[in-house]
Amino acid sequence: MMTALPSKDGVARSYQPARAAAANRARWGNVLWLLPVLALYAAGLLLPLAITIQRAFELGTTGWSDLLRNSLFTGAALNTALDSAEITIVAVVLAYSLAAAIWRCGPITRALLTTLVVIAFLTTVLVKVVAFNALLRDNGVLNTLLLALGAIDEPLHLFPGRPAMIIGMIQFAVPFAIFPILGVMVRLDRRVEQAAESLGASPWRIFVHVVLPLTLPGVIAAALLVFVICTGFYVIPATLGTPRDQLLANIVALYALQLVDFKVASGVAMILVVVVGILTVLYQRAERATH
Amino acid sequence: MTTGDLPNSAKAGRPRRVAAPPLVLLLAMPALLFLVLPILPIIPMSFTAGHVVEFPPSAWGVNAYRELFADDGWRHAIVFSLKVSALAVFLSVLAAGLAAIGLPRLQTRGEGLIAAVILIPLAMPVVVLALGTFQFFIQLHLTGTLLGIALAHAVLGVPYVFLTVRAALSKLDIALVRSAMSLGAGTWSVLRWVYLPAILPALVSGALLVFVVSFDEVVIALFISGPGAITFPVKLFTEVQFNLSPAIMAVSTLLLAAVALSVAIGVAVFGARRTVYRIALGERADGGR
Repeated sequence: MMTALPSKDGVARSYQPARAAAANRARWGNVLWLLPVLALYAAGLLLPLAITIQRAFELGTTGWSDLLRNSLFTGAALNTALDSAEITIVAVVLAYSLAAAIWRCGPITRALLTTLVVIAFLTTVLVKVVAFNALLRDNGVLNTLLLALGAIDEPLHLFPGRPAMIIGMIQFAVPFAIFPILGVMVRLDRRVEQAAESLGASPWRIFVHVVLPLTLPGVIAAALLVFVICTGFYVIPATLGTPRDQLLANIVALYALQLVDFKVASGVAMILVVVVGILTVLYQRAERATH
Repeated sequence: MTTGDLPNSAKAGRPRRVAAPPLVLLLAMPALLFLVLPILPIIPMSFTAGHVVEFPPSAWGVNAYRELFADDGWRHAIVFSLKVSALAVFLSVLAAGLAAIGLPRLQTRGEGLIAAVILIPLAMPVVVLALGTFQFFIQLHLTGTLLGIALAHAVLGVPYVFLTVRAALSKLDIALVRSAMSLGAGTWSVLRWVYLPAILPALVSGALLVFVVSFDEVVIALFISGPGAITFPVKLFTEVQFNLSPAIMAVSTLLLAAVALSVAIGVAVFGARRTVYRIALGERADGGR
C-alpha cells in the first residue's frame, strides 16, 4: 500500500499520481454520505437561521436604535449579564468543592458522589422548577420549617422572584461545571504535590500554590461553560421569576409568541447568537488548554 | 479524555496529610446537599390524600397518581412525546451516522470546518433555534405537527450521534474497509459488514442521548406546538406556570424515579467512571434548557 501522511482519522493519503484521478472521483462520490445531514440541517437549522438574520436586518437603523433603547431589552440584557456573573461564581466554587471530593475520596465514596451528581445532572429542569416552587413559595417547605423552628416570624418571600430564580439556576449549573474541573484534576500528577509536601509546604500552601494554579484551566473552562448556559436560560426565569426578572431568551419568546413582533424577536436572537458565539470560541480555547 | 486515570491516581497517592478525604468531603457537603436536598420534598408531597400541595401532607394517599393515570391529557402528551422522540432519534441517527462515516472519506481540508458546522446546534441557544424553526415552519405549515417538532429535535440530536460515532470510528482500522473493498465488497456491504458492527454501540448510546434530549426539550416544542401537538414537557411547563397540583408532584416524582433508576443501573453495569464518561461526552449541549 502506498502510504504517505496519515491524516487525523488514520486514513492514509495516497499521493501516487496514476491513481489520483480515480481516487478523486471516488472521493467526491463520498459527498453523498453527507446529503442526509445537509437536508436535515437546511430545513431545521440553516434556512431558519437565514430567515432570522433577514428579519433582524429588516429592523433597519431606526428599528435597531429603538430596540437598543427599549427598556424591556436593556432590562433583560442587564439581568442576563448580572445574573450570569453571580451564578457563574457561585456555581464554579460549589462545583470545585464537589469535584475535589470526587477526585480525592476512595472508590466507594466516589461512586456514591458521582451517582448523586449524575442524577442531579440528568434530572429534567422541569422537575427542578417544581421542586424549587414547592420549596421556596410563601407556604412552602422552607418557610414551614423555619416558622416551625421559630427562626422567622413571617414567611420569607423568595418565590416568585429573583432569589428563587438565582437559586434554581445555580443548582442547575453546578453539575455542568463539575465535569471540566474534574477532567483537569484526574490528569494532575500527584508527585508535584508530594514534592511540595516533602519541601515542607503546609496543606493550605500546597492548595494555593500548587493544586489551584494547576487546575485553573478547568476552572476557566467551567466558568465559560456556565456563562454560556446562563445566556440560554429560558425555563427557569419563566417559572421561578417575576416579569421584572426575565432574561434575554425570555424576551425573544415574549416578542415572538405574545407581541408577535418577529423583527424585534429576531434582533434579540441575533444579539444572543453573537454573545454566545464569542463565549463558545473562548470556551473551546480554554478547553483545549486543559488537554 | 483520560478519565481512565482515576483508579491509578487513587492507587498512587494513598490519603496523606495533604487535603485528606474527610476534609474535602466536609468542604463538599454544602454543594452536595444543595444538589440533592431541594429535590427530595416532592416525593412525600406527591403522596397526599388531599387536593392541595402541602408539606407535610395532612393525610397520606395515592390519589394524585390515580388522578394522573386517569387523565387523558397527560396520556396523550406522553404518547405524542414518545412519537416525536422516536422520529427525532431515527432522523438524527441516520443523518449523523452517515455523515460521521462519510466525512473522513472525503479527505478534504475542509473536514474540520464541516465538523464544526455539524456541531453548531451544541452551541446555539435553544431559543434561537426555536424562533428560527418557528418562523420557517410557519411557511411550510409544519408548526403544530409531529414532523415539525421531530425535525427540529433531530437537528438538536445530530451532534451527539456524530460525536459518539466519530469516536468509535477513530478506533476502526481503515485497512479493514480497504481490504473489504479490494475483495469486491460494494458500498452497502462495507456499510453493513464493516462500519455497522464497529459503530453499533456508538449508535445506540447516541440514540439514547438524542431520545433524552428530545423527550426533555421544552423551548422548541413550545414555540412550534399547536392544538393536538403538545409534548409532555410542554404540558408540564404550562401547568407549572399556572399552579402546582398533587398530580404535578406525582409526575415529577415519577420522572425523578426514572432518572435515579437509570443512573443506578448505569453505575451498576458500567461503573461510576464509565457512566460519567458517557454522560460528560454528551454534556455540553444541554445548556440551553
